[in-house]
Amino acid sequence: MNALALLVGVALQAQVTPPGVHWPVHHGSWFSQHYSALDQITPANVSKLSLQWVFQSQSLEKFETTPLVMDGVMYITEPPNNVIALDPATGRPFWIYEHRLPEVTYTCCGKVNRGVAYHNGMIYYGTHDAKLLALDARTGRLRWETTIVDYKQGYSLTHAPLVVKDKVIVGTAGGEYGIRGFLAALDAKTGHEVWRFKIIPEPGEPGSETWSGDSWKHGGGSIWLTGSYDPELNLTYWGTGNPGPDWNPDVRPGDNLYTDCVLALDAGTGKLKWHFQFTPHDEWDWDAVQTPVLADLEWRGRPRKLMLWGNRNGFFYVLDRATGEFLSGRPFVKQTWAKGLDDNGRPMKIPGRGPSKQGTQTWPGVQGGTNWYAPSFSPRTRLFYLTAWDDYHGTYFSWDQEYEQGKWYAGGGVKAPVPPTRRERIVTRGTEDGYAAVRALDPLTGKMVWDYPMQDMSESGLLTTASDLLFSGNREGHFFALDARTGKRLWTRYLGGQVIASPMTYMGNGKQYIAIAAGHSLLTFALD
Amino acid sequence: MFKFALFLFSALLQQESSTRLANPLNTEAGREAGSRIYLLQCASCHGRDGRGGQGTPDLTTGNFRRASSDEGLYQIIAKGIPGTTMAGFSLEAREIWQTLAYVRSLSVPRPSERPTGDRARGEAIFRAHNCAGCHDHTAPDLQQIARRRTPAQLRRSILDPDAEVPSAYWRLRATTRGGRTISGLRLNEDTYTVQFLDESGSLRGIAKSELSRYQIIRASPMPSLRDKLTPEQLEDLLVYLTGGER
Repeated sequence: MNALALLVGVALQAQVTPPGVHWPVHHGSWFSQHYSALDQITPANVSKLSLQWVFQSQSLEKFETTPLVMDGVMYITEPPNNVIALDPATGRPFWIYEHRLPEVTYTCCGKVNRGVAYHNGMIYYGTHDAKLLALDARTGRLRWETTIVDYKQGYSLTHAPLVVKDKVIVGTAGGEYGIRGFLAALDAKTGHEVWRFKIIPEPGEPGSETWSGDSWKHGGGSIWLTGSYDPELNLTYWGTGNPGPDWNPDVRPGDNLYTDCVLALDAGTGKLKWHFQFTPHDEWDWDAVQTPVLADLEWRGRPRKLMLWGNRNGFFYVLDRATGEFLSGRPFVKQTWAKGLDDNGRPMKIPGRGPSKQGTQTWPGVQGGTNWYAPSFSPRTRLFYLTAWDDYHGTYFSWDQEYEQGKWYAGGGVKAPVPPTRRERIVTRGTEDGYAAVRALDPLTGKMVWDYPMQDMSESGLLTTASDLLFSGNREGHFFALDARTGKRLWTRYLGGQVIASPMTYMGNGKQYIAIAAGHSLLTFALD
Repeated sequence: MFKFALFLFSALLQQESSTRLANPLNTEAGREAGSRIYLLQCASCHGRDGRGGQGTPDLTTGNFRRASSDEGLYQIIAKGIPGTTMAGFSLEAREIWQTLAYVRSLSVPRPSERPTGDRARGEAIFRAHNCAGCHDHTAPDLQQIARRRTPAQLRRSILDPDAEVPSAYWRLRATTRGGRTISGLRLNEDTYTVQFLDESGSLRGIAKSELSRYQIIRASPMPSLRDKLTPEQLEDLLVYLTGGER
């Protein structure tokens, strides 16, 4: 890598599409394509990939980190709330920052953290006690710490922040604890709040008419996955979580804005430019907490700035990301709750498919047709790839529940033959209760181009590269490479621990590495 | 609250000689209060009936995998289980003990479900039909079966073994690309491989890519006892099966 190439890399990085030699932001680029321009590893040589190093976490919590690599240093989070700087060529730590948590925090589904943000020599990350921390990237020393909100009200921070124009943007998890979610932007230098966007509007504010009575007060609308950014439009995009209580929708008549939406906000002011709600008045806990994938494609004969979205509700959407206009949408897995989408993309719900006292069986199940793990878009193949859960259902129950601060506030429950997470070490069930697949969709038609089905479910994200490889893993503990054009499997390793994370790639000492968290370890692979 | 702390303290003192703290609120009132907490805080994942929801454990068997003592279970409710969706719950100590009292009560079989028969006669039937011939090996272990299955489920399985065969007891039959036939009890399976106990009693694993044909047999190899037992004998056998250690 000569200096010029490095400069070019940095320049590209300013656009952040493609990311060049680094993996500078959580989703690989501001466009969140989980695509890398690196091409040292190819379909022809991928069979020679070998293990380079392993970082063993000391935590037994689920390991959902996606590393960043910036300026020759890898930064990861270790659950629950540690940050570690590593040598990306050897896996040896440079420094470890341990954040002390209170004994009780409020994370619905595991004490997880998905990653950090880097900006101007600083590392930013959120904690379960709802603080945003800024560390010196060279020393790991704490530079500032800002309490975003009182965590005792059920809030936590679990996703990697996004830094846009000297502002660190972060949102709050807690959709099962009756929070009122919001996004906050903090000054990257000082930690002072610059703007805040309330996902659940107060009476009198736009959107408040979609709530009734006091239901807005504990309306949920969490944020637990990093958003995207379009520098030309200066819009930042974020997917929002379910309304609360999850499975007792009768107490919150209305569409429940801005839950289950994608929000397009002015990055400078936090003002809402547009929103699109995937599941109005959600009855199933189908958070729209997926990666907003931005792609520039020719649509019906003219170039358009698009957003591609495989939603937990089982539909794949194409939106115009400048205006929020709905362009197309169709199911990518079996679903039984909607007849389809109308001309505006609003689902035409089938009555009687929501939760009930005696239980209602509906497809997809509570984990949805897909979930938070990263999809990918390759500008080369022009295909959108995602991890899908197909033929998967849940039986949804509803009951009455009063809100109590800091308590679980779901108003119901779900039974399903498939565990939502954490695979048992022995699995014998058949695939008739659901299976996972890596699925390639043509964004222009929404149709499946190829499918790579697996025996068990998968919570692994995807990575595509400029050599037309696709990397993913699964709950079974496999990590594999597919031909991104055909779906043909080219390489597999059994890692012995389930993958609940998304792969990434970077250059170190002239080698292209692929990194993936599996079990309680981070593993890297390269050509010897 | 102060009164309750005093109560807890005295409960602790009383337990001084014991190594583990027992639930001080294991009372009718405690269970009643616990049932309300359970519904709102636990049932989303564990089911209203406690029989599990989505991969969450059945809380009605009396067998708790992570802890058996009240104190151990208290810690699990308070702190959660790392690496799982079981979060720690921010409940008052009183509420945790009440929840635990209710959860414990879920494992007590309802009297109406208890079979009525003669245990000794049931044991004789068990021997006469050589049930242990399979159940001591690859068929489901019948030790403490009453903790996993209700008498009604057992009755149904004895009369109609195919009615419900858990996937852990499905068998496989396959042909390798070389033309060899393999079969046995399927133990574990993923996208690329299957692990099994073959007919000769060897533990084996094989890559699916080596197979030209692969079939999972979901029927039970157990013969039905429908025409072999009188209704009274069936109840005798159930009493033997559900009557604790044999």
